[in-house]
Amino acid sequence: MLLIDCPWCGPRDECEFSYGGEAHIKRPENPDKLSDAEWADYLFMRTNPKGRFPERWVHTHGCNRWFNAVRDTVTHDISATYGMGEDGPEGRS
Amino acid sequence: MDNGYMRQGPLDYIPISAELEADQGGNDATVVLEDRGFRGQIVLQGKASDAEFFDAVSDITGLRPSKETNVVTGGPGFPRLLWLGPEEWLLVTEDEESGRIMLGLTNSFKGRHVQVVDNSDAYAIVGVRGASARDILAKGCTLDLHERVFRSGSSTRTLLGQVQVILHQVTDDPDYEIHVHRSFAEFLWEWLVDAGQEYGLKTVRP
Amino acid sequence: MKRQRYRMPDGGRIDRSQPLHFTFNDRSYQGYVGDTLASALLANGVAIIGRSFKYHRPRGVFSAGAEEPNALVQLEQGSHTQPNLRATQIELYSGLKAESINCWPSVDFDLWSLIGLFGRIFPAGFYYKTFMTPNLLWPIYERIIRQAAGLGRAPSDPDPDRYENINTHCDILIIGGGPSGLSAALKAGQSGARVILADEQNEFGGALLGSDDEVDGGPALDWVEKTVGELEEMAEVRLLPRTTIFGYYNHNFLTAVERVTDHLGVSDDPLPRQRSWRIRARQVILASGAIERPMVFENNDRPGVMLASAASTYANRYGVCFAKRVVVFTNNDEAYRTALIFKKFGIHVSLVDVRPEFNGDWPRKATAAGVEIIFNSAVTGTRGRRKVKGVNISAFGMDGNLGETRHLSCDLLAVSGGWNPTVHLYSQSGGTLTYDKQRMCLIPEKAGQAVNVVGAAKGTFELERCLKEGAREGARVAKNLDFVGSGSVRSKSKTVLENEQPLQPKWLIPSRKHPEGGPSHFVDLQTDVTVADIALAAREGYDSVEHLKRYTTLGMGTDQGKTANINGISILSGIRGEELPSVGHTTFRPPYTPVTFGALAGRQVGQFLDPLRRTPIHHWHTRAGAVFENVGQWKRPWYYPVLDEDMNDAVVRECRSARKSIGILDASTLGKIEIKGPDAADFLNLIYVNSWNNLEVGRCRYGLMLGEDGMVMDDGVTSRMAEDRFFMTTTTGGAARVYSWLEEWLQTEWPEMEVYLTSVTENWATITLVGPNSRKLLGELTDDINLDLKSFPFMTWREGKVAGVPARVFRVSFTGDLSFEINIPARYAISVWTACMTAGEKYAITPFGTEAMHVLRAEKGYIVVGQETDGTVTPGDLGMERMLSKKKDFIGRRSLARVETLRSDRKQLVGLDTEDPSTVIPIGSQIVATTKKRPPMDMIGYVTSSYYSPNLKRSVALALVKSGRNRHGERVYLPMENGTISALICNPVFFDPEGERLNG
Ligand SMILES: [Zn+2]
Repeated sequence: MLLIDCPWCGPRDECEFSYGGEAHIKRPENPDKLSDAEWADYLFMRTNPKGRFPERWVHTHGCNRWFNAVRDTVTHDISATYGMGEDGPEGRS
Repeated sequence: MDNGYMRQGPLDYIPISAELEADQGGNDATVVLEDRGFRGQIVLQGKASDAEFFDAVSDITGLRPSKETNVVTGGPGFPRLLWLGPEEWLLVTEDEESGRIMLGLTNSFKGRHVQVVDNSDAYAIVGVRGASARDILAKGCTLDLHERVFRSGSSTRTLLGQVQVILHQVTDDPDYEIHVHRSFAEFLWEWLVDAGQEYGLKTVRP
Repeated sequence: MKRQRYRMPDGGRIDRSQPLHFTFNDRSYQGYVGDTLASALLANGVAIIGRSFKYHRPRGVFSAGAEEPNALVQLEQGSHTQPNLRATQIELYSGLKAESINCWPSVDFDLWSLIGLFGRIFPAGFYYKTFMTPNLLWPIYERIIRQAAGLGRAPSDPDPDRYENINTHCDILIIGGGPSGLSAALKAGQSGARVILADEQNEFGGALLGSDDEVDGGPALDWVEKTVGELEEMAEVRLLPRTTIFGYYNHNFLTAVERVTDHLGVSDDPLPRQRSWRIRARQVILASGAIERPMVFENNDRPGVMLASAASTYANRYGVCFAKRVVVFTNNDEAYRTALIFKKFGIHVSLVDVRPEFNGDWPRKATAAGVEIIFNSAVTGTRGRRKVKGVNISAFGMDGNLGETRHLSCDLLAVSGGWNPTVHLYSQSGGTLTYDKQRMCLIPEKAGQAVNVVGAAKGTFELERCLKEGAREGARVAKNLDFVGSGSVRSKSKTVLENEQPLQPKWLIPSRKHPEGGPSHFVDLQTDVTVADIALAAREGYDSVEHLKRYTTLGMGTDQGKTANINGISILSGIRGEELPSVGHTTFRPPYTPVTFGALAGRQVGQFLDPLRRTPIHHWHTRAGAVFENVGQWKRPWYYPVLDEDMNDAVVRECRSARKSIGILDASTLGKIEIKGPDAADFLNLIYVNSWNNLEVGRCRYGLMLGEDGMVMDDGVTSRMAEDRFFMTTTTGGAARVYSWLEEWLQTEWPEMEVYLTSVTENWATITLVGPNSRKLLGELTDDINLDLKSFPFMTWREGKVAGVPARVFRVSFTGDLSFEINIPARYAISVWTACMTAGEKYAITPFGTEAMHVLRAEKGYIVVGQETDGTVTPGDLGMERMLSKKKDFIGRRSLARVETLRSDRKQLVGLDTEDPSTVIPIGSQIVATTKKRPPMDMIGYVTSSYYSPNLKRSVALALVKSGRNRHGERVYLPMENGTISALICNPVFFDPEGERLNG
């Protein structure tokens, strides 16, 4: 059970949060200009690294805010949490 | 129009035994569960940067929305203003006051980007007070309820017994108020009664 | 009733003034308060507790704690029964009933033990080799194996006991209440930090409970009592005896089980039987102690062979001495302690030490006490059929060769192979272990989390150093958390002996017949894994620790090999000719000791398994005799049977009334969201496939919502309340999902949009009036809403009072008939509903449930998201492509232009007209164009909705069929188990296709 440091509420149990997948994936400005393959890349393809991974969480049963977290997918260490639109410790990967 | 007989509270159908009803205070119990009845519950949403929004709320309710997270402005009396999120507060008023305050807020915010919604009937309010209250809540809530962390004047949304609630510690006794969505109210009440069994919990309706 | 033959007249931590009666294998015995089942059985001279897993060899008590591999029992009977409990950890209570497991017909005469006589039919990998072919025989094999091999019986009745769970937080969690844990707790507690001290035993003291050590110049147990007393006074210290920390998870989250009333026996106490703790600790101090390592020699499994520390504990702590002659066998100093304790009770003790003769305090003291010490020698085997009667001893030199054998008679063989730190939780937490060549054991190396190890768990075995280490770490950890308090001076132990002799790394003792160790050299007593099994596994190539474990079942018993694993891997490393560190160790996994399912489930059982939601009108439905249906967590009226109606009768009546006169439905479960802000309409344009800019205030519109993959995710009616304000409704099941979905887009993708969302689902009750008379009825209940067709047309909404209550009334329809959705604040729901029922009496108003609602909407071909859709259905598939706006972007739009979503052979929504109109096709049935004699057949689609329509007097079915829209009129088949249903593909709108009834 993870302990996640909500940027607003502080450390809370994982059960209060919902997962939102990889962070910093911007919806394309003009989807019509994209090929099927490019659109599929936006829709489905994720980096899925072994190690540090910027991802999105929402404090569903708390302040209801979305935020980003850098979590190590091997150790589950969360090295940083930061608000939407903010740059993480490693910039926007 | 507000005829009392026309209203049904979310916990009206919960059996509260006569013996317990007679024991109105329940003062000898280590923990008392109480249906706190109808209240005005108004959702306020506005931008943290919108000073006029803060001023207007303050003018009408006498309470300034907190920018500090997870705290209550006002209380233990009414009205109270609970921080729910960085742009969201819950104004809790006495039931009779809610219409007037709602009207005042709505009028004041005409043409502004502020959300004011009367959500009074969305939540039941359950009181849990007494020495064992903390232990009962801890059975179904992962918050750290220790007085060094969560004290009177603290409030937050959280999960209790798998149900989303707004938990507010009203006084140091401790006395907690749980705002629970109306549809879950009976489930949560029964859950609390069961959780309190080992502490000799008593149920009270004012 | 037998007398406690082996109980000493005094001493120990039992209360002789409180005798307890219990039965074991149907015989009555007596023990005392303070006993465990194991100590009480030993006091009564019960040597054989059970039979071994594979060979059914007699086994007795081997340890005095959680590591017990042998003495497993079935506790209590009927619904209270529990299998495989360790007798060494069961606190004795009055009336306790226990029996042996894995023996038939009885533990003293076990027929399966004949297996042992017929030699080795269960070699390593036995299951894989023996029973693989032929497959058909497997059921027979399985039955035989299950009877022969196995442990206790699971109860078959529901568990009558109560279990609780509780979440807690602390600054410092201290695991283990022995000398180092208590010292740490004292310092940490004095600092003012929030401390939890948990120990699996019924009292604190750990190893001191079974020893005769001294602390601060007095008995160690006096120090324990004083320390516990001080801790009890500290407001922020929580003491949890009888509590096993069994799991160590991420972010210092630990789970524990507290045995609250287990020691009181079967009772109907309001207190729970067990309580599971979920602990979030900022820092953990692990003081979990160590487990003694056994020696491996021939027939080392006989009852009467016991760990030396356990033998001391039974004597010192429980006042049990079940031997007249004791042999102690050791490779280290520790066993001298045991020898001295037995000597103190006047028992004849011989001590066999594999080490060469040395001059140290221990041998000097032992010799002085009259212990016969035999250096340079080993126990090579035991004698006795049902219990140890004697041992064989040989000289055992450094070369590993055995000398002359001599025989020593004894009735207790106490063995000591040194200590293994209890590193299970450390390893679970992600910490790495290293092999300490000095102390010859695995010790913590690098922590993976905020955990600090003290005492024997770290390889610090001397009492004085444990006290020191505990106090130092307790203070340091607290200080690092900014807790600095003042405390008393540190306690000291003077029981340090000088000239200690290091342990000699010999654990496997050869026998003359088996110089490398053989099939009676037991390594894992619980799973009957022997040295021969390990050798065989290695020969067959299973020589990595993980393979070895699975091939031989080493360490796979309920004890997880607490006394077996280290010997197992050290024997494997010997076979591989490598050092132990390079062989590695298997992963330690939770739970540390077995946990009941009851404790794991905690409160989440029965009515509290999953939350249940009730609508504001629920109790009216209950009184009306409604039968409820679970819709997600909601309880919704399914149908309302009258008198002796069955479901079919009730649904038919409800459907007819709703079309003929008036029906009333509780639709309060619909999701409702208030959407406010200058960008609200633009936001809806992105969320829905259709356009919202031109929707006038006072009007409603049906909207379809897609995922970014273009698949339908929700639908519902959204109404414009003001220029900048909309009221969205969602499906019942989609309410929470849609609200989160909208918030996610607003917060993550379009934060610049000025829109606020508020979920108001629970604030409003929704009462739907359906049918030609609904306008008339509503007219009687309101005087400020003009209901005539022109003033209140279809897809508009009005505000006013209904039955005296402020309401929002929407003219929408989910049945195709004239219909009004009345929204009122939830507190008035029953009043307004009752007013409708009373006023509607003359129209024979009929409450209808979800089943009738489904029939009515299916007659009209209206879809239900989640029934007609399953996350793979596009608007086009549903025939709704006309709704798609071409003037704007919306979520999912680009995906609708993908090659895959444009395919012409996608499954499309159609109706099915069954050949026999009375046939109702089961929902989910597969559709084929041509039938074959037997499956597989080419499936072209499946049925999504199917009902009998009383209004049409025929069945109606909706289906998704490949290229369905071009196949209207084609015949298809639905092969069923008992014959094939034939149907024509048709338009999905069965009832009133012209839509004439909408206006009543
Ligand atoms: Zn938060």
